[in-house]
Amino acid sequence: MAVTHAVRHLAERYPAGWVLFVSHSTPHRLVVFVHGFKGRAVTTWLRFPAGAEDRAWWRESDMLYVGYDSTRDSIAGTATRLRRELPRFFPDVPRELVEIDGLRAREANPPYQQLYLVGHSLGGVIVRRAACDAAQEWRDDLTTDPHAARPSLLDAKLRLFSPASAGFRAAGWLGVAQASGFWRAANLCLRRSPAFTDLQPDSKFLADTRRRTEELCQQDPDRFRALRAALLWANPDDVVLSERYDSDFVDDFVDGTSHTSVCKPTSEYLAPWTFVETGRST
Amino acid sequence: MPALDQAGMFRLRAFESDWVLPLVDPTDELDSLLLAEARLWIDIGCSLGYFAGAATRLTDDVDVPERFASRLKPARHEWSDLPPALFQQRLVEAQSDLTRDRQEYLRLLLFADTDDWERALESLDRVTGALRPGTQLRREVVDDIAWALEGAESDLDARHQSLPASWRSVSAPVLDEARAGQLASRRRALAEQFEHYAQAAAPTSTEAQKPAADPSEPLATLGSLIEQIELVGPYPGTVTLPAPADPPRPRPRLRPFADLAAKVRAAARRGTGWRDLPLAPSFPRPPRSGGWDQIETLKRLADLRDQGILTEKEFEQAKRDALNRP
Repeated sequence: MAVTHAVRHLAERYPAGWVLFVSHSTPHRLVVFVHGFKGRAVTTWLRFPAGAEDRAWWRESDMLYVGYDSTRDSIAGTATRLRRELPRFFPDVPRELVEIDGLRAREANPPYQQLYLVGHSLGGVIVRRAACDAAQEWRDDLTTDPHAARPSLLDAKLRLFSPASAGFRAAGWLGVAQASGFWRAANLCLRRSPAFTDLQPDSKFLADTRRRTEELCQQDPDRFRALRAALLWANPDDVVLSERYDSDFVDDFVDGTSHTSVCKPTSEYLAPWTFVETGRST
Repeated sequence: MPALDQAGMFRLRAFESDWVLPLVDPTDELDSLLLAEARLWIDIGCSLGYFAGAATRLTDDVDVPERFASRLKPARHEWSDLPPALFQQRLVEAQSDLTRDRQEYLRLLLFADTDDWERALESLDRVTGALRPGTQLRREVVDDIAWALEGAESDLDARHQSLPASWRSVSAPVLDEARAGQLASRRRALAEQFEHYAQAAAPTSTEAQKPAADPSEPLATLGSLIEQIELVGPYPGTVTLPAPADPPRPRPRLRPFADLAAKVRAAARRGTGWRDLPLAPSFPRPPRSGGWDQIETLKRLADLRDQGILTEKEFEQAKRDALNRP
């Protein structure tokens, strides 16, 4: 197993808790990962970099792992941070992250050509909200400035694993807790989360995000095509309601996976890698 | 792709920049311990070919705190065949494990003085004692005990047993047996409080025997209970918890290891080579103490009675339950 990437844990002038995997090869794209409830920036997706071992697509990708505290941060706040910070990383990665004291992670460092946003569960809602807000903001900007720059986020491809965009099932929160080995009484911390309210199935936040996304896609499907997400659901998924937006691509299910395992590739379960690469599980 | 050495040297500098540099002027003993751990990661990473460069500029000549010396000596034979890519995974997991709550947990468990430790446990007791459906807890109250809930959980497992983070992995020997015992009993008491109310709110046996019973009902019941606990704030005037007997005082700045920062700076100036660490087999798990938890539970119950949180009748019932528990 060759080491294909170097790791940068970001802090100070960058969002704390974000982690960048810098490819030692010339990168073509940036893949941004957003974890779900009780997940961690990288550990939720820990197996993904291993795909670079025999899949050139991942060797040619830098991976940016978005960290946030799911029991303290709100969905809208995290989505806003993602939307505001992403232009610092795409299409050009900051030079200081790939060069230290004259040492370079790779020989060439051209701008990325592609952007992928990958979310799991609550992370899927964050990605949707960030994309939706970017589209609305740009549409508003265009009313005063016809040449307003198109946000790079609107050139992204969205790949969502069991997103919580229709909310959690009745016992969903506790399902998350159980699935993640989270200690039961610590659900007190879970209850503290602002997302607790936002992810109830009847929440206004979820309804608004869906309505706005569908309206934007309907108004201008070409300009806002980035809002159309590819979805991969676990089957059975006892944590989230498996319901897609009208604007999404036809979704896919993977039998025998759980809400937690659906996004974790292994040497036998290749679907997560394939799904991110192509938008399809096979 | 750059030459192998070039890539390995970049990885080393990246690690130094992201982990070591912020610790070079340690503000407390935990920082110093993490700095010592970083030195081991570099040592192993160099030997596996993940890092390149014989010398590191920042961690040479850093002493491993004597109290932790035996715990910070991973077994070479267990990691010597580790592929560098897997080493990278373990390293990333170890870094990700150091959340704010986790660091606070480690700091309290290992380095807090007795007063601070007891004050932290008292916060936990107050929440446990006050917890019932309809309880109002300010978010700051939950923040204050998050170290004992989320911070006590770790993603690190047996796979880290032979690596430098083993001292803080879940499968590691208990770091401080007495404090770990006290915390375990508190966590159990809090969990039991939830269980108690969940059972009270659960359907009767007749209802439970209905053929169409939802298999997720117990979880839903517990979820319903949790939803009844109202979290409010952060505005004033909503605290319903009994106030602590003594006002909380600022946590004292923990004493840094003597001259550690100076040694690190000196090593950085010298740019001297990396010296081998003596490596020893894995340390054994210490035996668990038998009735420790029970004694702790009884003490805690007595405290709750003395604070007026439990009535005498409730205390007697809880004591009987505790004594009858296998």
